Amino acid sequence: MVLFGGRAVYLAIYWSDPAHVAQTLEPWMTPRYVARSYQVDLHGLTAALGLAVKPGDRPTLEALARHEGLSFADYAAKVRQAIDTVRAAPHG
Amino acid sequence: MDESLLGLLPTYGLPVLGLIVGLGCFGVPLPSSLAILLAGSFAAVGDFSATSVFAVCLAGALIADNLGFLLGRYGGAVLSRRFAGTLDKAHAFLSARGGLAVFFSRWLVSPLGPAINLVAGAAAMPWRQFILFDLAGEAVWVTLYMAIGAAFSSTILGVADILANATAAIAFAVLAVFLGLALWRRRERRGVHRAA
Repeated sequence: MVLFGGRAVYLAIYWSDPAHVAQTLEPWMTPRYVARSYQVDLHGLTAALGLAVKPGDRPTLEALARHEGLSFADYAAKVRQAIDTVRAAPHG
Repeated sequence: MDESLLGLLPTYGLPVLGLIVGLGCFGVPLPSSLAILLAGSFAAVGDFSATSVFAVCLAGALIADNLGFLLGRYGGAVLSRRFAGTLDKAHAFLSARGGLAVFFSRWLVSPLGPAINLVAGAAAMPWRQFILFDLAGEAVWVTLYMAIGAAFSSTILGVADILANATAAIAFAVLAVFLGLALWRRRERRGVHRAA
C-alpha cells in the first residue's frame, strides 16, 4: 500500500515537470495524437509528412513507417523533423 | 503495459476496446483502465467519437460484470458447499452495504471489481440492485477515465501509471481495513466467550 501510494506521488511529481510533458514518439501514436502532444497544427504536420489523413482514418506511426518501408526509428526521426518544420513555419 | 497492445486500439478500433474493457472487468489481467484513458485521448484529438467510446466501454463493462454475477450465482451452489462460512459473511456484508460495495469497486477500488461480481452473485444479491449500482459505478469509471484521458492527452502514459498505482494503493488500504476489522471482531468474540 505504502509502496503503491509512494509510487503514485513520485510519478505525479515526475510528470508535473514540463520537461517530461512532451512524450517521445511511440509506435501506437496517430498523426492527430502527435499533433496534439507536440502542439503543432495537424494539417501542417500531415503536409510536411506528405500524408493525406481522411476523417475516420487513424493510422499509427508504426503502420505509416511500414507503408513507407522504413524502420520505426527512421520514421520517428522523419516525424520529429516534420514537427520542427511546422514549428519553424511563420504560422506554425 | 505491452506497447503492441496500445497499437491495437487505433488499428482495430472500437471492437478491440470493448473486448479489452470487458475481459478486464471479468478479471483477465488486461489494462482496461489504460485502454479507456487512451480512448479518451484519441477521442479528444478526433480519432474516435467520444459518444461511441463511452457506449462501447459501458456495454463491455456491463456485459462482463453480469457474466461474473451469473457465474457467482449458478456456480455458487457448488462453491457454497465448500465455502459456506465465507459466503455467509459476504452475504451479510452485501446485504448491509452491498450496493455501495458494487458502486465503489467499479472505479475507486477497481482491482476488487471482478471478485465483487462473483460474490454478489453467489450471495444472491437481488439482480435489480446489482445492475443499478453496477450501471452507476461503470458510468462513473468510464466518464472519469475518458475525461482524464482527454485532459492529459499529451502525457497519457504518465497519468496512467499514476492512476494505476493510486488505485492499487486504495484497494490495498481497503483490504487492510477489512482484514483488520475481521481480526478485531474475532478477538472480541473470543474475549466475550472467555468472559462468559
